[in-house]
Amino acid sequence: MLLIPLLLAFQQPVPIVLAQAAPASDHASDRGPAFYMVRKPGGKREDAYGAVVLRRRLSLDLQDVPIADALAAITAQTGIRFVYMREEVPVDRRVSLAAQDIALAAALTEVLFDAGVDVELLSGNQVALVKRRSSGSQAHQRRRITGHVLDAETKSPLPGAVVTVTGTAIGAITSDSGTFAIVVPDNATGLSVRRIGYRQNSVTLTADQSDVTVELSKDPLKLETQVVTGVATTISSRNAANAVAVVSSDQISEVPAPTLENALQSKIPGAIIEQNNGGAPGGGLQIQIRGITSIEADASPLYVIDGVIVNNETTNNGANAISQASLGSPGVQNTQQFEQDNSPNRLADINPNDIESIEVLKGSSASAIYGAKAASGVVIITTKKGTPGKTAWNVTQRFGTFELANHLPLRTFPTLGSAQLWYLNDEHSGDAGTPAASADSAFIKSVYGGPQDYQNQLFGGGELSYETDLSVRGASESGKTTYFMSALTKYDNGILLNTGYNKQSVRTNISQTLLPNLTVSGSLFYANSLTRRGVSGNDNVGISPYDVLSYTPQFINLNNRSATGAWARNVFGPANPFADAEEIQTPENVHRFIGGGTLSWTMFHTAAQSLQASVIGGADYSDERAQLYAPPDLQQEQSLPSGLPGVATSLEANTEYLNYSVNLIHHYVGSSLVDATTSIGLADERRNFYNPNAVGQNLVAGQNSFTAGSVQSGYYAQTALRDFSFYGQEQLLLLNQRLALTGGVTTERSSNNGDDQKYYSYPKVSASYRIPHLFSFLDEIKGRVAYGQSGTEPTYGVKYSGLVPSVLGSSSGTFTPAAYGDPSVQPETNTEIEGGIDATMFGSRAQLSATVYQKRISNVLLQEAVNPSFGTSTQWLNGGQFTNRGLELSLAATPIEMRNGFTWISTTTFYRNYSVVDNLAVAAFDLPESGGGPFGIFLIQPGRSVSEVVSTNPADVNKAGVPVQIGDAQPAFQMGFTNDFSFSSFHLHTVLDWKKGSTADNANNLYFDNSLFLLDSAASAKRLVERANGGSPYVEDAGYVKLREITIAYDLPSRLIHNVTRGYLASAKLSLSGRNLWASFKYTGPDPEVSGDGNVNITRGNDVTQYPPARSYFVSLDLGF
Amino acid sequence: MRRLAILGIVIAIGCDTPTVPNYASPNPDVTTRAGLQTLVTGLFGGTRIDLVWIITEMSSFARDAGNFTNTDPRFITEFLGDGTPINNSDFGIFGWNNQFQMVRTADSILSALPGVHSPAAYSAGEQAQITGVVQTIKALDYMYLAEQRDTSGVPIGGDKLNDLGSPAPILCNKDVWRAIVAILDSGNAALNVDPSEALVISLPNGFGSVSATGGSFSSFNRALAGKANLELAYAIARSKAATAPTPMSAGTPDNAALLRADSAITASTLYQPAQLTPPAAGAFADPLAVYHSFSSISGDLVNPINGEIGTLRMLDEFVASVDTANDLRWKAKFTVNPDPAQQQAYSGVSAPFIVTFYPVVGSPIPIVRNEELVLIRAQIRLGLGDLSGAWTLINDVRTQVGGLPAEAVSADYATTRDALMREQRISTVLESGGDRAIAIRMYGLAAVADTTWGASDTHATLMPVPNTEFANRSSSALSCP
Repeated sequence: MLLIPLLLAFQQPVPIVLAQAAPASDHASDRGPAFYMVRKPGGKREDAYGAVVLRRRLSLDLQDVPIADALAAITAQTGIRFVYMREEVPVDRRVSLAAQDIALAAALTEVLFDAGVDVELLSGNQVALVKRRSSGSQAHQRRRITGHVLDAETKSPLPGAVVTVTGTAIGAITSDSGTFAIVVPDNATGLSVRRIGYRQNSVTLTADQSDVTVELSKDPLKLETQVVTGVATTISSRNAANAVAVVSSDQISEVPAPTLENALQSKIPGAIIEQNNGGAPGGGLQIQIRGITSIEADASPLYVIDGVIVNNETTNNGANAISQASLGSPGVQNTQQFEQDNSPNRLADINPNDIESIEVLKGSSASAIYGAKAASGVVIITTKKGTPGKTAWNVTQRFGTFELANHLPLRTFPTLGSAQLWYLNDEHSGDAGTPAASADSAFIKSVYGGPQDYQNQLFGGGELSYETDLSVRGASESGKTTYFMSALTKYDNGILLNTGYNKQSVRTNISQTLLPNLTVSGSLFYANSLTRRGVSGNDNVGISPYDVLSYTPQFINLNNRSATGAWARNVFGPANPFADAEEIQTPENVHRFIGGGTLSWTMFHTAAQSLQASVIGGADYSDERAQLYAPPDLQQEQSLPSGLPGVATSLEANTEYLNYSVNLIHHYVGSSLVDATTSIGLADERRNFYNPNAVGQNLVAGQNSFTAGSVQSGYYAQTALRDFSFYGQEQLLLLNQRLALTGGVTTERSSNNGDDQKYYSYPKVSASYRIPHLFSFLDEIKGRVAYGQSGTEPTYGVKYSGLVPSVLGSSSGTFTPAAYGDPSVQPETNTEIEGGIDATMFGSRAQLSATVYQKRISNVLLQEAVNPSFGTSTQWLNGGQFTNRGLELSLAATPIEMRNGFTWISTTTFYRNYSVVDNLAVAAFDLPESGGGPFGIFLIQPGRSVSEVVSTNPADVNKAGVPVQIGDAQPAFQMGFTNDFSFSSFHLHTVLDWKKGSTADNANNLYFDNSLFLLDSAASAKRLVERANGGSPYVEDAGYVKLREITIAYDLPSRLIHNVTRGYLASAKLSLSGRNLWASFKYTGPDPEVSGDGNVNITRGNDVTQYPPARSYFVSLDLGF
Repeated sequence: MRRLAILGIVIAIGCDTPTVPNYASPNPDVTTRAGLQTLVTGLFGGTRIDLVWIITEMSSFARDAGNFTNTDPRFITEFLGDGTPINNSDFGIFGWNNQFQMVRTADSILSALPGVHSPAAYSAGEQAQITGVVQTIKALDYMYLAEQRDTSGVPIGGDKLNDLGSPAPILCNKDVWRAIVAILDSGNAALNVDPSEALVISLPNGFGSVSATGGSFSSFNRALAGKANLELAYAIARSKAATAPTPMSAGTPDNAALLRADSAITASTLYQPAQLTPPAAGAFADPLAVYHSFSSISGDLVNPINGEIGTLRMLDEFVASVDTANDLRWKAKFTVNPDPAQQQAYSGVSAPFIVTFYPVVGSPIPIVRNEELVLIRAQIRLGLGDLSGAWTLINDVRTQVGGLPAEAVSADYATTRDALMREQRISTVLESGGDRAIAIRMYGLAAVADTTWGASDTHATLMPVPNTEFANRSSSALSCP
């Protein structure tokens, strides 16, 4: 066993395949040749069983030919020259062998079976065949086993199953016909067989057994999966010491999803996945794992696709130039992009249909190997690869639509009298833009256009959405080349007029076995998307649709043009939302390339151990271009406080990610008692971001280029990151794989740190122990405990205190910044300990997982609220600590599995996280994004939740001087309920999501309360009073129950489709799906699942006239060829 | 060996230098004159950033105008009060953080000044000249702070450039004004070390009238000093309840401060009561003035009041106080919105007027100007008990600028004061001085019920000190004698 500390890295312990697709036959166990190495003539014979040359692969079709001819055929394919004495080798004896892509060892075993000869490997390509020596030689220590692997239920053969000799690294993979042949040590006691989607099975070998049939039972609860333990190492989930969530491709693709995160909602215990901006097309969601992991630094998970660290950044598209949301007041010219621009994050580019599985490393004890980028968890995405066997084509066609999920209850004016009454009652006091009053309301009569339903008119949706997905996966005849290719084109309609999301993508994954010990695989992904999201959310020019609705009574016909094409004028305010929706263009065009590859080289291999080197890396490049345009003739533009009608922008965001790792992996299998995987490696990562943005205002009519503006502003942002790390890991499976121990450490430096040459170390250790059959109902119970550290890097530029550029006339100036940097800034440290149990029960019909964790974030990066009178309002520093403690429960069960085929598979997850600020290096402070006043503030103070919201009312301070908590951005708990019912060819799938607690700031109500346009005017009046008294009436309960997914599917009868399509079509499925079809919540805004500030760590729930929530319906047809 | 070599190459690639420069804001070299000039330009430019808040606040406190934007009701609820005391919301930081940033910038310039050596060090006279300019702008930033916060107090004191440990004490109003006066006087002394020497630093266009020499810039300094001493005089009086002015009495403003104010103003060449002229319709073009400049050049600021025209409403009380039929100032500054649909109303009363004196985004906003100074000196004379002198100046403005007949001179304090404030209101409305709001507080009128929002309207008159300023302080209560 190698426990050399330096031998660390990442490797999946793939058994070496010695034979594949060999014909099954019944032979005695000791009649095959033994393999020896002779390094010099007359020298000592050494076991050559694992020699590289013996793993050369070839295909033979020999029918009753002499052994001499068979050897010649082998020579022709492999270049191996055989030397022998004719009197020792029965060369005229006739043999038959038909096999594809088998190893040389297997071929010689077949050809020389019962020939009474052994094989000696000489120098170069020479192989000697020598007469077998006396008993007790190596030949008597090996035997050949053949067998079948079958589906336990259907008895159909299972290709691609991995057969491993217990206690060795010897293995084989079953052929298309489910057969395998494997040469095993004579003292082998058993075989272990596993395959994705099936439960692992082990069989015992008797002393003279040469043929075996192994049946595998399906694994509907996915109890048998491989989970990641590092960059390239895995472990069976039954041995895993961490609660690693695994989501499979079928779980992702049950219901069409706008983006990948939508498909993951409520499926990962420990993760809160929520939309930022309602149903805005093109995505924009946040994944938060095991609570808030940083206050100021980037607390989003790390995303890794096939070994390539990929970009999930959000680049603000520049809509602020139109909305002026960043303005505290009208008139100050600030057209730079802003966090409230309502932009999607780049995970949206990924095609969910390309994904084979997603594993989520939730905490530091699992993710430490990723160092200072892993504190918020690591989402490891594995895309589909080619598989041996027939080429399989799949086509999916979907049609559907998105529609408004929830209407705000707005006041209507069914008659002219009701409108006049509203006006005469002076209920519009304080509204801007109200025309001069007329005592007899003649004015109202002149504008009354009958009752209107602006929400349905604006958010009617109804456009057709579609998605076409084509994929093919397979392998070459030799099996040396495997491939997966896919193409996608889709369109998601937006529910707001003139919004939508169009995407095309292609992916190619190819793997090539260059030599028996050298495999290279590569992937290339390209996506192009066009997102049009309109202008919504916070604004300061009265343009967001719900903003307009808050000051416009629903009785003037705004969705109306004159004969000359001029839009109706909104006499109650500065904007006509229909004109804005139709005329303002907000295209975001994204080109995304992700390319990666893996080079895997088995440097040596024996029955007991192997050494493998791998290089894994790739690049991710995205180019985002947003060219927004608001025509100058719009009422809204003409009403601009700036007096500069017409806006055109040209924004680019180029993001480059590059990373690679070099790994050495040693795998040792001493016996059934010891299985050790030792790995070492290094990793390098670089990121670059370039973001020029040009804005033109006061445009020449009819010209949509920023160059046509009389006022032009330019902005530019650039960041870069250079990280380098060493890492290592030892992974042990002991005591018949009951005990699993893992230890590792990563040491990393980063250009974002104050000292960019200093390395920071992140260790981890974990252990698990399985106890089978503790009780009669308990198949197995596993206890596990894990400890680890990871980090969170400072954000770019924190270490600098750059002066603020300023322009005054034709002169350039600078002044001291509002935020001071910390030249010695360090990464945050995230120390986690987790423990739990996994219990498999009732014959694998149920599994209960329970995990408790404590995640302590120390050395917290803080933006200390310096007294502004210093001339700076904040200063970056490290200090303080807060802790997340949580509980994750998961119960997966098959409550019903009837003989008639009816099955019910149910998974329930529960997640609760509680955070507390342990201490701060600074005084308690509120976050800059806090709404304040009636919205409360997010106050960071010791002894309290890191995401608590407190009242700003001086009266709401308790005796100890602590402001009263009135809310919290984090929920009390979140539960997910996934249920799948199958009967015959019908399937029903549902996902219910329940979030209890949490609060959001419903600024919508603030808007509507002032105009009294909400139906519940009594509630408005009450809030206004409460607000006037210093209360916080806009902090509301943001809990909800949502039906995230529902699908009913029907598999067309295979015989029917086979007959009708003459065998071309292998499968066909028709399904009807819906997403977010039903929701229940107390929140009085459109949707409590909201974050107007985008992907912020803490201050979520800011709801300011956001894009409203959407629900979708789709009908899908899946065809397999 | 080959394998090791490959491994070595890979490691070498990874081990290259990880240093990444500060792309966001590379700092200028302040040992050069050019580098120092960028800080000076930044100081002048940065002082304007929160001007919209300052003007909107002060005009709201004065019940002259309000921003009735429908995109954020806090303009109404927090500035105009609406019967609600201003709370400590995020609006409270405006006109605070930025002004202190400029104070720090000013200190940075003064700190860097002796170290400038490229292409040549500044002479002692040049250093004094720059010091005088910078101290004057620093004092202006403190004045904006003091005028918005009034009795809430302002922290002043100590050089905190290299020490973020303990904040400066929050001074009471009178001490704030004493400190400001001291800074102005120090700056003025520096400006007059070599008053005829041409300025070696470039100033914005709006300072064209005072940018020739240290001596000419001293006129701007003295104008500010006149106003600062006036405010000091009344701050002292207000700090003593027994002598504070009331709606019916002049109180006892500090005489010495008033005399210094009078002396300072008359020393300024910007103060020319004989050169008052009626305003031209449209943009300001007062030659005896110093302005904040604006432009639409990329990166520059546009005139923020121009940006508010669409939502800015002149309150009834203000309109009622003006002789709209005859006052040339009114005619030059306001007009009825030509778009009937945009003739806005608030509280059921029409407010059809729009501001015309900031007609374009590049319109400058006065910091101080002759007409304003004449009325400030009238306040000084009133404070000194020289009602006759005050009336002379009041009627100078009224007749020469307003084109109105002179008012009868009265020996009554309240009558004189009200006349003065009435002229001040139309003369300096929506300028950056906030003179009427200051006068309301100065003369003890803040507690007088306004009728704008109903019979019991007690509107806001000052901004609070932001919550953030109380970090690292033992108490949020300001105890003033």
